Amino acid sequence: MLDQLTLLGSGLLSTFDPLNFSMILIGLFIGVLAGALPGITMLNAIVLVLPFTYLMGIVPSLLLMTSVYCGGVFGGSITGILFNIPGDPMNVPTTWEGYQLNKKGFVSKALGMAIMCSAIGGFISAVIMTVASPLFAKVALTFSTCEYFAVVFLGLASVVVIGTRSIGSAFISLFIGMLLGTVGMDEIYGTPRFTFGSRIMETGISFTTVLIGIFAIGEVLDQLSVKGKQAIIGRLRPKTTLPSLKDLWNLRNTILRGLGIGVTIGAIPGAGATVASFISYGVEKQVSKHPEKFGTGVWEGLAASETAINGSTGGAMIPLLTLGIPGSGATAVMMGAFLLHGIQPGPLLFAKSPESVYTIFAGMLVCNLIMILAGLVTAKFFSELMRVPEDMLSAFIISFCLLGAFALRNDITDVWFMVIFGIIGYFMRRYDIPSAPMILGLILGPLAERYFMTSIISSGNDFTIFFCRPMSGTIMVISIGLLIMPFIRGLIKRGMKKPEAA
Amino acid sequence: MTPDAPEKMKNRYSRLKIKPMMGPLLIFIASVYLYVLTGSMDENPMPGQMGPAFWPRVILILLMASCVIKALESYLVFGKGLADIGVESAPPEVSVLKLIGMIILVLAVVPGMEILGFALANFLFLILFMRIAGMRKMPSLIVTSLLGTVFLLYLFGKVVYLPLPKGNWIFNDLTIFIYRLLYII
Repeated sequence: MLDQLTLLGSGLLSTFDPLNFSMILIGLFIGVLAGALPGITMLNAIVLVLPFTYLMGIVPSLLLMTSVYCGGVFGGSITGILFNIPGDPMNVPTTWEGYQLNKKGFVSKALGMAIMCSAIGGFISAVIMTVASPLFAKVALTFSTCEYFAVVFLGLASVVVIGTRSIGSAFISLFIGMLLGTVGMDEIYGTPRFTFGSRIMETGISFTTVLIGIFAIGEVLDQLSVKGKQAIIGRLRPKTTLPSLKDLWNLRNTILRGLGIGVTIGAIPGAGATVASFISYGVEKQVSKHPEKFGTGVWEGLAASETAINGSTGGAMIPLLTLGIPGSGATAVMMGAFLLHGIQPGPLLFAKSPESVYTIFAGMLVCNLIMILAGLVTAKFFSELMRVPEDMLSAFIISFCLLGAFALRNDITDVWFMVIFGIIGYFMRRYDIPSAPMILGLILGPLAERYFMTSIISSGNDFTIFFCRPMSGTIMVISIGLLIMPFIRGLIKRGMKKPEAA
Repeated sequence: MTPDAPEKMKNRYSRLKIKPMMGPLLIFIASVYLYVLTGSMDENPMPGQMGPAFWPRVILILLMASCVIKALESYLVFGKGLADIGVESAPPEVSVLKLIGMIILVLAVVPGMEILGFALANFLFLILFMRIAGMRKMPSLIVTSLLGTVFLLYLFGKVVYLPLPKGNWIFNDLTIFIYRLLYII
């Protein structure tokens, strides 16, 4: 424990190193900006800053990315409250209540409440992450390839089940991603797969190019191709008033529930802030004495959603840092940053470079505190920024993407891949095929193959090995339960509808 | 109503019913083709081992099954109202010409970077993209693109030290000239 506190202390000191601290400030600014501007998501912003991290050390790189992450999940609520335009899908519940509060004349207080709840959620989840991650990592060190496969399988299963409207589309997206992950030289047998004789394909398809293409280019094409889209021009110049301690005390149960939901959902691979935000809002509505008032400007709704969104950030970092398994698009890019610097996230990270890990923890703690200040100062500024033409912004985003993809290996082939996946990403959006399962399939697929094949080879082709060990067996059963849950739910729904129809 | 109207309606209905299944069907066919390709990976399989084709084959079988699930879903939800299937509103209308223009431009900028070099290709790309996207004032387009390109050149060429593509033939010399002019090299 003392070691951990010492490491956290040195992490805090390292956070206030001029370069690291400026990375936090820049990251927060970029994150809040990206979150606030409709059409640019927090994930786009993390992808866009990735090429800038090539020349930095691992610590400033990760501080930059984590602060973009923390700022980005909060930023979308500003435009949601001010203009009824959520910056990201996760900010939709905030917008439902926040904009109504704005119309009732509580704009300053609504902004302040959003900032405070975000900061509380983010800060406490960072504390939980700091305490829980080393314990998780210790447990993870006892894992064999069977347990790793089971965890990756759980990640793949939850990606499909949570937050998608069509199970078929989610499965298709996931398996296409996993199939893309098999392109290149096979790790175990050294055989080229789906390379079509091309040497470039032998190194495989980098998930970063796919990620940049799908999330940035696809998004830009989707936003700009809509007919008759009006530019958003706001004339509002709001002030921000932080809530009093009494206000926060009155919402203590809501904040605690939001935090619990945020951290738990965030830690589940594939779930993320959007799911956390909607579930937290839904739960709050269920437990409320006046559920009918939700949607008309209720403080509980706003607080629940905002706390859960930022609460999920700390939770999402736990599987990444302790198991090397990214649970969301944002943490997947961060994993890319780790790998670019030659560091493999996972339980050994705590033994090999504890300084880096604890600086990230400290960075997240500091970041969430600074966010209160940033939120107070920037709300006025962001209402002005809404006037920047989207056309101009989008053109520059594509330029950044071209450079980002090229910078990966200084190879134009990566730019080709990025552009092609960008166009594919656009059509996936258009035809309502979720892209997140594909990305996670591409990342988790090779991991799943590695752990599966190693386990099977070492057990002499015994497929029951995953169910024979207590930990992996339990996780596998949970995963299978998750996979069959939608079908059972569908059958129950149908069963309930039939008597009604009769 | 003409006598063959019910027949026409029936045909149209059948076509509409088949349309959402086209995507899964195409993916299914592609999966079958790729499954056949996996045969070449296992030329000399080690006895008692699954071989390099095992994992892709499992994925392809699961992908084919997913296509069947999706096709069934499309078939079952066909004819129901949007609200019944959880869609709040129809997707917004798309400007096809604008979309095609943007896609062509995004595709063209990649060989453009190789041939013209990043500096020139990006400058032209920014002007054309913003124009297609809807910006009208030519002077501001040119100034924004020029300043933006110079900014990116400094940022990636001077700060990040990324060896940006310089182009071929005369464009290589032109890019070097631009870099010298801007004190990038």
